[in-house]
Amino acid sequence: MGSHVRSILEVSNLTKAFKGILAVDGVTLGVEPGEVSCIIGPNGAGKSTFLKLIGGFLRPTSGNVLSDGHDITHMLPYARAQRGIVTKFQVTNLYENLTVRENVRIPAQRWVLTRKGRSANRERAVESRVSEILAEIGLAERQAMRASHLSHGERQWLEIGMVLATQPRVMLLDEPTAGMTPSETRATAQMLKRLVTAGQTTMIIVEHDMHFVREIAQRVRVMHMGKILTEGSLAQVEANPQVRQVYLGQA
Amino acid sequence: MYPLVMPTYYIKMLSLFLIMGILALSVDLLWGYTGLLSFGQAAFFGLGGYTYAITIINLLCKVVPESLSHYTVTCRPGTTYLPVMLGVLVPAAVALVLGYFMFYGRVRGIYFSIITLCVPLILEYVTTNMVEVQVGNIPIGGYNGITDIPIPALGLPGAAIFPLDTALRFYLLVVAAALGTYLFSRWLVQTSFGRVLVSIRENEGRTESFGYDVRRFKLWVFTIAGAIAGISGLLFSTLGSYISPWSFNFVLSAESVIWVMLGGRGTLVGAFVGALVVQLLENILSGAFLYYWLLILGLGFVAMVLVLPEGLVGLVREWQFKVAGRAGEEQIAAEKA
Repeated sequence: MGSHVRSILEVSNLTKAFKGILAVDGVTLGVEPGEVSCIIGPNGAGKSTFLKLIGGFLRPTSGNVLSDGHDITHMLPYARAQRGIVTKFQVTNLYENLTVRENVRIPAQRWVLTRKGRSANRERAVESRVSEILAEIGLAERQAMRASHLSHGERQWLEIGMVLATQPRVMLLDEPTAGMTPSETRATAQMLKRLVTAGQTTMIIVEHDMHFVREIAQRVRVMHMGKILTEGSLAQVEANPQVRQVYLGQA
Repeated sequence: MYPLVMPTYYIKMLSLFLIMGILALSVDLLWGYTGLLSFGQAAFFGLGGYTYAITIINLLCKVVPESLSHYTVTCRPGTTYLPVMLGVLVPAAVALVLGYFMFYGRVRGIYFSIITLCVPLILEYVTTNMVEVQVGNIPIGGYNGITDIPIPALGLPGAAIFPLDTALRFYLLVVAAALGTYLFSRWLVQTSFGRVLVSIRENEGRTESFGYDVRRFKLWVFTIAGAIAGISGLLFSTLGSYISPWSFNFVLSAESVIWVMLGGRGTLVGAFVGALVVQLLENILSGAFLYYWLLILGLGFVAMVLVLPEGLVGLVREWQFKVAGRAGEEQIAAEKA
């Protein structure tokens, strides 16, 4: 008997239709703990919609989403986040009028305050966690600045830091390097790789930048017209003639 | 110490300003910190006043009807802890039930404001029409409301009773209530709970995406604000020994929003500053310009919102930021030199 790793996230026959148009069409897949999975595909393939269905920000037309075997299909986003499934959106979604530190503090305290212990100790734990995250995303020196004053790349990092602060089990990252310079993209890939190496989290990443995908992906899934066209290692996917035709060939 | 030597009229005026400041504080917790623009705090204000009046008269007083709308109330001395407690708990409980249906029913934004606008209107109509309704021994009195409401008294039940029966004593009680509610609110907004409230105001969807059940947070702050408005209402009913359907009036709700806006939204102290300044202006202007004072006041409100969108306390804070920024720049320049 081969060893069987139970999926941290299972999606079965997930479908989302908008006024009769199938944005996600019967997708079935499983994500193993610690896996870094990239979803690639042309614009309008249904990648972001798929991520929103897993995060709970859209209700599926049919199909199921299971987390550790529990059906979470009809759970609200906050309940999914409490199970450790946290989303970084494509368009940065920050607390614009709050400082960088306060932006990280809100998600960090959610994670820390659920633990038992004296309130003063927990407050210290929150502050220490916030400092760790700010150092990790390279924004420690910008912590007193308002989020609205950050550059585009810094905003993306802050958004990643906010997701990290919740100590997620599954990170859903929608185009984490969108609009970044090549050096910022490399830095982001390095940061996410450090997390993966530390075995801290599982990631499902929607991404267009193939350099980034090459850097980080353990498994690549190609979406086209709402369906998973193929999946495997990046080399396997790149060798697939269908994929070259619908996506990679266009580059 | 000034109120110690002030004429009674002015002490009562100061008490009234502070009582309205407490009402505005409840609006600031909701609107200033959580982004929930409630036009319904008068509902909880009125409920606090009516609950206190009905409970205390039933507990301590004998009511002898003289005609359909007139009666004599004779009260014995006694502590008023239970009426005060109920005057806080009943509005809080109503806020809890109302809030549950609104927040768990996903009522948001303008729809929340409209519902909160309707609730005091309904209560005003209901109490106005309760002409012949009696609760225990006290008639609700319809438009005339309830009169001869006894003042609060401290002490030990059955032993020493200390009635707050002078304007100064009552003023000190109001100061204690204002200080208590202010310090409680200040503490609340500085806790992790308070930070979540601010994050809901800034970006509700994002806060939810981090695992916070924002409905629960909104429900709690709405309930707390209901209790604070109740405290304000019960104090108001004892200030003039009188409560009427006016206490549910939309004008009071709208005014409390204006006080917060002019004082400074999201500052807490601005609620008291706004209530004090506006009511003081109302008093001065109504004396000086008998026919046009409302017009002058209205134009003043519009001008202040345009010139000082952050309110009076916001203006002071802005000035402090500028001074601190200048000091910081000078320090950096000195270090460089």
